[in-house]
Amino acid sequence: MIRARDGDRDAFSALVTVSIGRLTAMARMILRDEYAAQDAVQDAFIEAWRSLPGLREPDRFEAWMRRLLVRACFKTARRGKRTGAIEVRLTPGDEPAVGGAEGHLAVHDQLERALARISAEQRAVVVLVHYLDLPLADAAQAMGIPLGTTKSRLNRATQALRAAIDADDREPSRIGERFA
Amino acid sequence: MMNDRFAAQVRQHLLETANERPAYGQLAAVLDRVADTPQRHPLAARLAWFPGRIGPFPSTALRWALIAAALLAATMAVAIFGGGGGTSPSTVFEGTWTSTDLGDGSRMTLVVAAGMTPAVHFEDDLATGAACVADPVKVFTANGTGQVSGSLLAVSFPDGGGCGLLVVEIGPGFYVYDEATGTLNDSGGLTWSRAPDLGFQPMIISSLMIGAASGANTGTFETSGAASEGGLVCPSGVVMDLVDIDSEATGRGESVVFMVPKQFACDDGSGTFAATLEIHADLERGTESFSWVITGGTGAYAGLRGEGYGGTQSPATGRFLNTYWGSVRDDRGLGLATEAPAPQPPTSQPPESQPPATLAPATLAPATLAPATFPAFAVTQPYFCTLETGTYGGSFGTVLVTATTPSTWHGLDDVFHLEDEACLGGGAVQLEITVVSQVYADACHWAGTGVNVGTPDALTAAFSDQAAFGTVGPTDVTLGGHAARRYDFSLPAGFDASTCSNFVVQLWRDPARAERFGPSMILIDSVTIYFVEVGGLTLGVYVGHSRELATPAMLAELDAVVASLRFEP
Repeated sequence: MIRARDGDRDAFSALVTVSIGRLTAMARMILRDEYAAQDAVQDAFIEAWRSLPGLREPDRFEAWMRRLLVRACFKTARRGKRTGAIEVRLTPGDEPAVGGAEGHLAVHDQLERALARISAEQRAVVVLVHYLDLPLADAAQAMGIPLGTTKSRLNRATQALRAAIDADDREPSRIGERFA
Repeated sequence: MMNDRFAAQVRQHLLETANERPAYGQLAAVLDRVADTPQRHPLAARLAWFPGRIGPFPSTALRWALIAAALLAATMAVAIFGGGGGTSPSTVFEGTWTSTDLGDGSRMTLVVAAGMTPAVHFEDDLATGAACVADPVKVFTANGTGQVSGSLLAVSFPDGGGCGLLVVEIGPGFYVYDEATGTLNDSGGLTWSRAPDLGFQPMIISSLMIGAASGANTGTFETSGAASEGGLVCPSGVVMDLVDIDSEATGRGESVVFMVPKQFACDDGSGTFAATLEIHADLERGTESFSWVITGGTGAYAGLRGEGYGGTQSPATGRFLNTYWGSVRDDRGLGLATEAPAPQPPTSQPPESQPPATLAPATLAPATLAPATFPAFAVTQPYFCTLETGTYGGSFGTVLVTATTPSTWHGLDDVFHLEDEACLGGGAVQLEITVVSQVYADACHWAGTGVNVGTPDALTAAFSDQAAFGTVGPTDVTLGGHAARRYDFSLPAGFDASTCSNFVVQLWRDPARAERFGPSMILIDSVTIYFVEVGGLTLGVYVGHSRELATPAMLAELDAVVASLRFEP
């Protein structure tokens, strides 16, 4: 990290190599679009490379990268809203759900649709807390918002997920949701 | 426990469906871009981390430099917008103009401020074009600037406009004043007429706010314009936010919308008035604009009504100049509303049994207002959401509200929301308290149906008219030591909320939060509402439970929490 901060591109390439998978997964969950996710990850890495000389605490690189990525996702999401270019992918690219029970699949299906209905900001907090298992304080830092706002956003995101699932239960034929 | 299971389901789902494989060629593409990108100078790289309006500044020296720059900008802006000095000359364009969109019959409004380079505000009350196709509320607004040259007004909207979800570009246009008819003819062929004079007087408020390190912002204000010169509003005073703005903003680089109720207290002790701002902020570009509406008042301003729009200069620093343009009138003077309590007929009842006189607060708010934190729960330990047994308090402006909770209850620390066993929302019994500024005309299809309720009577009328599934009430009761009006209602069994706005029933709007996050009924199907007027504010107390899920023990706990409520103005 120190070498990368001092301008060593090979060192930075190594950092990219070890973290690109995890960050791409995050971006896919937040943006729900493969190409938008790749754009956001690329933007985050470019911004990281450019701003790395200003990073005073090298051991905070991972948290810093998360914040850059979340910010890049929000920017990408806004671009998508303006152009209408972002389409929702209801299933991840090539990872079938584990387990074959109908009920299990139904829950996955419902959660996928519910996640599609909430905003990128709400998905971000859900991903940070539930996928990365971050403490709320770290999630707040990643999103650049106060801790209290993070708590309430997580609460509201969960409420929105539940409401969407409730609605889905009542109207099972509702399909084709677009990016919210 | 149900919510813990739900959280576990969400976690399991995300873990099982996560795709951590980079796409083919993705790594190479990133590295190629890095190879072509120079790094910033270390100082420049650090400056790029200014957190904007949220979070600490990187150094004390830089903070003071930015504050100095902001004050300079504020001073210049006051001069430009004529705050306090009224230096902007009037033009024939100044005022409010209306026209009709021939395409869909909607009403369009153009507000032009004073001066040769006036601020302009455009609004279409029903935008049927593609720009607003996804918006639940189709009111298109745009703020821009004009350039007056003789009988020509050229306008531009550099920040575009929209209904909330989408920002679209707006090309420049011009308006030609026709002296013979007193109308404007625009570059699109439409004719604009002056809005009818309903007794509203133009008003400008210039307010310099100081960003608080924690809690709500405070500042001072000065008024100008005919409303000020005619004594309809006081010339100056102090102003405070009734919410912590940072609790609603979502970070630098984002476009956000949030509601900020403010209270203005006049220096001359003539009274107070409250306004709610709907702020549209682009934290990436550091721009901010807002619409505002008067929501109530005390003393000389008990009948004050009005609305308008405004803008903020230097929002990225610790000081902000808010400039409000619009118009106000006194409904009491026009006999249009009676905020003050009607004279009571003689009665044999002892005075203490009279209906409460606090419906129209007769006491003036203090001229100097202490900063408020909103709501500031006295959390005893770092927590996710579980609260220990104890008394927790939240402040709404100058009103302190406290409640005592049983163990295992949960709460949020930036919203006065308590519930049982539900870290992630949707408890079987819930209590939430907010300021009430709007009641929805339709509790199911509530989006865009908010009705301003600046007076207790207006609130009662609006709530009684609300399509709310057989509302029972009001009943006069006492809650927390104050007179209150109680309503009860229940959703019909099997009620389908899937067609409701955002899939939930929502009764009123919490001005402190975005519209979709007000007190809403998720799992809850039986609600008791209390409206309490205290300290010049109308507080809505939402007490709900799920008929299916709430046990007698839970309901007893909920009753105990309600009984423990105290309101201290």
